[in-house]
Amino acid sequence: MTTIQRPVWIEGAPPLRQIGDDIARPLTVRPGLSWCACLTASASALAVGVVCVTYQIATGIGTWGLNKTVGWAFDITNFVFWIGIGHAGTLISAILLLLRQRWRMSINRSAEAMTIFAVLCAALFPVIHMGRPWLAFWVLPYPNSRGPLWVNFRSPLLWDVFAINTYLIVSLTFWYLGMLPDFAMLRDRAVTPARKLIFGALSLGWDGSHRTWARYETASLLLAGLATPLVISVHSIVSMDFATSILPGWHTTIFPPYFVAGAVYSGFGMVLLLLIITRHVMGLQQYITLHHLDRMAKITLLTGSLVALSYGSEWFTAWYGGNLDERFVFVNRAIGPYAWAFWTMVVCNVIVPQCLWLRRIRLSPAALLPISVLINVGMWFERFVIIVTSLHRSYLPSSWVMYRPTMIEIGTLVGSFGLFFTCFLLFVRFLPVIAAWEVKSLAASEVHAYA
Amino acid sequence: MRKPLLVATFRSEPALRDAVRRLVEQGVPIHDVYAPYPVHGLNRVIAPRASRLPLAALCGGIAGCAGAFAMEVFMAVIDWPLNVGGKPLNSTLAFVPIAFELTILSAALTAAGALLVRSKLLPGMRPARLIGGVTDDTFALALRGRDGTHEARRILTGCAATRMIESEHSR
Repeated sequence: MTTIQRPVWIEGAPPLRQIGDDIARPLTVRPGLSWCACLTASASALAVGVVCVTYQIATGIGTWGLNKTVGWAFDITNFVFWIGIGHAGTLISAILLLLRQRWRMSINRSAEAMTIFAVLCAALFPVIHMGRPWLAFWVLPYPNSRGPLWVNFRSPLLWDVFAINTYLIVSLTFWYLGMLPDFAMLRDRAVTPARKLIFGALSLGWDGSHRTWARYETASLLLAGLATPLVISVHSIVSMDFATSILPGWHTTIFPPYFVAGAVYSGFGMVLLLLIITRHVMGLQQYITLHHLDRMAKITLLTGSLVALSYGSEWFTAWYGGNLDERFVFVNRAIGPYAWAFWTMVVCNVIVPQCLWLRRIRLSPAALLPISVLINVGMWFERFVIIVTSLHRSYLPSSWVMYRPTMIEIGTLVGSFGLFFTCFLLFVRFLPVIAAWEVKSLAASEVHAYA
Repeated sequence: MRKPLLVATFRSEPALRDAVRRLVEQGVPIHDVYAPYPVHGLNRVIAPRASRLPLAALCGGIAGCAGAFAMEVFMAVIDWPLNVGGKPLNSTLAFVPIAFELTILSAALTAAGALLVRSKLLPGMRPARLIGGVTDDTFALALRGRDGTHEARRILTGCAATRMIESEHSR
């Protein structure tokens, strides 16, 4: 008979000083070959994106494959995809903090970083779609010389502006505050004057006083409590971009929870991918253990199953609701010209995550890596299917068309991945990738619990 | 203002807790504790008053919510009433999402700002560092000069303090 053991979240019970050494090491030593190779690849992808974005801004968004029927496709797909990625970071850092899940401690820093970079990638797409990105500030309600002509507060697109900006600012605040004690540690370890100056400025005079720690933990709980409804509202508002329209396939009340579940699911897919690579490239297997991967895989399984349930519920409603237009859209998704995209989505989002019921797969990085990639592919296609198949055959058969992305659009998507991974690689090189102070408290409590 | 302090350092959290417990039993007030991570259960001794940060966040949230609704009503109803698709000018329900976001934003920034200001964590601040290593693996306990009596020193020596120094504290 096997006994259930509480997993040990830090392997080898390292002393506190060792933890600091391990987390500060990537900042001081020369990066390894694998890091340089990853950076070269992602910077190349970023360069492709820079070229494509420059070209389409100079020429106009006629360089995209959009037409009169499908006026919204690749850019909004990518926007929703990237926003969704970010949600896992907030779930790990905020919701799991409120639920007192100690296993989040060694992964929350990198997950929050992922959130911020994903939101940056997402924000790129609506700004490019404006066509004249230098006028992007027109979406803000500021007193202007045009009346003042104010923004339309009844539009979900404007709700998005506020939701995304709030999400970015609150995530950045949470991330920076979380790093304060670690900046202080790096300041006290610094040997070169430049590092002393940089980390001295970043740590704002942190001295580890208990009075500060007590307030700091209160503030962390407050921010976590505020970030939790925020993250749910952000993707709900994104889903309202679609749900408040009257288009069959979009006009459903299930969209907000369905989008939030999908966002967390795709986000955990990305966290798994990033952490499997990071723990290997940066040699952090001791801190990001197989048990961490196991827990994340379990959440992926849960949210993946919620997504599958939402698909089933949408189909049931389309059939049971008796609305012929709605029913047509769903049949067209499954057997129409974009059926390949629909079935890619179903395989990746409904079937693939069910592998995670097996403990052996959850504990194997080699098996989780392809699964996490497939999850991201599936969730990208989910947004593509929702957006393009609903638009391309709407009420008027005379306006039915096909949409296909141009190379410029694909290049922009490649570029957004380049931006994301470049930011993340620079983060693991120049900032503490694991919250040293949290891991120290965890290590101390584990030592005392098992001693 | 500089106050003289007596600082004792420890190698581990249990040693620190032990010292705090013994000092409290003897009625010696403890000025502060310095640690690389938050040591729980000391609030009763060191910071007995409940933090007012939640109150600050609540005020920030209320201000954000009220400000957002006021902004939306002023812009969409009073200053330039624009008919958008025949919807009522004061379409209050449609104003909720933005008011919600600004509530969260204002509450979060107030909480973070209040933490930084109250703890004097501001750009350009230098740490009132008492002893090296408290951000790394050292735990320290500080007594005010007048409380660092002979008796207090005897207790600290008895509970595995690694070092004891007289220091000046600028806060």
